[in-house]
Amino acid sequence: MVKVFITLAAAMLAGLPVPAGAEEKAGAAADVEAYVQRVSELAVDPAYGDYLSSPCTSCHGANAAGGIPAIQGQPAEAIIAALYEYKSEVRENAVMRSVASALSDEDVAALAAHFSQQ
Amino acid sequence: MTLIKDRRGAGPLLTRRTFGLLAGAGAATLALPSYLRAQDKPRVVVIGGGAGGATAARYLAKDSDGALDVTLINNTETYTTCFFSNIYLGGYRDLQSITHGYDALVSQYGINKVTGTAVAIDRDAKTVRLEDGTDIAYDRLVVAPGIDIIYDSIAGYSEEAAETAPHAWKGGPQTEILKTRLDALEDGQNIVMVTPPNPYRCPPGPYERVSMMAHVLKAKGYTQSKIFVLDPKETFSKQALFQEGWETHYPGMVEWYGPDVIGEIAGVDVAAGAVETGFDTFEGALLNIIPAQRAGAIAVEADLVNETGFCPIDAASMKSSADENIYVIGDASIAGDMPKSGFSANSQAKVAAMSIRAELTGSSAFPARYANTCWSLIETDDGVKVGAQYEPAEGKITATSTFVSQPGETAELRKETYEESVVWYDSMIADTFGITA
Amino acid sequence: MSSRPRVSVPATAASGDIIEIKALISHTMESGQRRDASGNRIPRKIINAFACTFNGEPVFSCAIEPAVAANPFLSFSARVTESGTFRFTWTDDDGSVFEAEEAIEVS
Ligand SMILES: Cc1cc2nc3c(=O)[nH]c(=O)nc-3n(C[C@H](O)[C@H](O)[C@H](O)COP(=O)(O)OP(=O)(O)OC[C@H]3O[C@@H](n4cnc5c(N)ncnc54)[C@H](O)[C@@H]3O)c2cc1C
Repeated sequence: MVKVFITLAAAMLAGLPVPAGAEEKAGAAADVEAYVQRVSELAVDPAYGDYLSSPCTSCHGANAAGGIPAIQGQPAEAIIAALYEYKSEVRENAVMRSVASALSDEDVAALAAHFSQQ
Repeated sequence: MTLIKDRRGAGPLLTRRTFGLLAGAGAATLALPSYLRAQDKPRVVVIGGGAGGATAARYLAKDSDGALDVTLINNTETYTTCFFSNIYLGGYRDLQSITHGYDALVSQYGINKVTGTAVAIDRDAKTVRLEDGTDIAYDRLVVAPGIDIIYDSIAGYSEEAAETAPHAWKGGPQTEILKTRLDALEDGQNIVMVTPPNPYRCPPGPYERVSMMAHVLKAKGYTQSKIFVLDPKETFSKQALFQEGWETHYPGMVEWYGPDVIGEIAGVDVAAGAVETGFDTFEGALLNIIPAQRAGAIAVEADLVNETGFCPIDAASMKSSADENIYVIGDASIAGDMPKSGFSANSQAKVAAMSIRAELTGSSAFPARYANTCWSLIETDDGVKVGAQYEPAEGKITATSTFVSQPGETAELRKETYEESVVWYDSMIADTFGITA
Repeated sequence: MSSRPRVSVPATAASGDIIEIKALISHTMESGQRRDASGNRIPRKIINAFACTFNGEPVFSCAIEPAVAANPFLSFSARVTESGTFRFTWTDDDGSVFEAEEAIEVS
């Protein structure tokens, strides 16, 4: 009965809060117009737009409402502006910020052309 | 309007709408199963009509404008999703609302739906053998059978034992057994859940299930029942979020123990309602045993798996590393950083369909992009999510940007997150089965 | 929700063996720091002490802090030289004491 080794293990791990997302960038809103203008003028390959849009439709159904808006048939400018605002973290939404961060300007143009013509 | 040609080329041209009407009227002119008719188009056969396979079939048919002959083989008439089966368990939905048919894929997309089990693939002859002996020829094959449960990975567990102690890790009857038994519990009766080792279908799934079972017990005013969660893993998906949620919504009801406490899961005695661990025996009136998993049997039978029991693929296309005419998508594949989820399977299906079309019809091939979001419900209006975008990098599907809900978020944000998941479900079903709600 | 202790001690050992002892109690371990939905502090209620004896002799004891998470789990080792019984006690803030015991055969 001599030796006693101790490990006190908390069976439940405490949830450590992680700092919230990056701050909103103040100047971003002013840049939207310039961005929309520039991206609207890019040439797009419709076949590329079709392909790129396919992950979007997993969530944005044609009849979507409420939690996730339908984006089919929206004006191209509105789509470009929205994606820019997610990219620049003006708009909140973790999924859309992640989606937008992976899109190049050409991608944004192709998606806007695709959905505006649905 | 897309034209769907009769396969022999001699018959009339049917518009999509006329075709739909014919099919609706009994399809008398199409009495001969289409996969037995003469072929003049490249043939793509899809094994498995779940999240991955049905999406692949739909995108192949939709985007090739009738240039491909697409056959979808599924062993059941209808498909009950595992996604949202926890929501059903929690009493927020009925089983009907998570069960879907293939009618639209047949009538609107001209897909040949075969109800049957694929038992073998002759990779040299490029044919799929059905259990009734029929052979179906393919130019490209998509293998999307989902997972199989490795029953004997837990001593004392078996397919038969699962009738009493359900795994409910495949949709349909198993989920119903779990629901019936959950609803029959009385206050003070406990649940013991054994969660699977990695890799397995739906990483947050077991913990969402814990939450939904706790919701049912709490909603009935139970204060004495407990849910013991026995985990072979040190940590799990969205752990901080789930544990915070359990403490907030179900204090004292959920006890999660990892291997540092319980040691090994030594075995189950279903009749006695007991799970034996290296530490102690846990007893419950309801056992939910989720064993280890591997790719569906057909992938094993066709030798598409490696030593992990899952199928290695080319990250740029979802093509099997073992066979250039075969693509493996969904839970059966080894998809790098992507979790095994319905969303992942749906995303992988689109990349595979794009690659197959490029090979067979000469359409453009684009760089692979994948996406996934897994939503989980912890308690009414308390939804959380985790997800990422992915691209191939260094031979593996690699996450390029990830996100996860944070502990301590506002109730408003959590409610929005849940509402997203509801729209996602309907959109995902429309995207997979072509059903417009 | 009752607090049910669980302990694990090998049934047998050879004299001089070092054995592993594990002790777990189901308990919410309410720290006194949390607030309920209406913002009121939830009163502290924890297991504040644990002790283990062997044939009446103390083996190990400790005080437990409010920071410890729910369902505290302890594992410790001891060298055994004779057969006997381990007794375990957990003391709750409200004064209740939870007990468990486990015998070991030493040859
Ligand atoms: C409880 C639970 C909750 C989940 N929640 C979510 C969620 O919220 N979000 C999410 O994205 N994912 C979720 N998932 C995961 C999701 O269900 C799977 O990842 C997804 O179903 C995988 O798709 P798949 O096409 O690979 O396989 P499956 O969807 O299983 O489809 C395979 C189909 O092939 C059939 N089949 C198999 N072999 C053959 C054969 N030889 N011949 C003919 N047919 C065959 C099967 O019967 C089945 O219909 C959840 C899973 C579970 C268990």
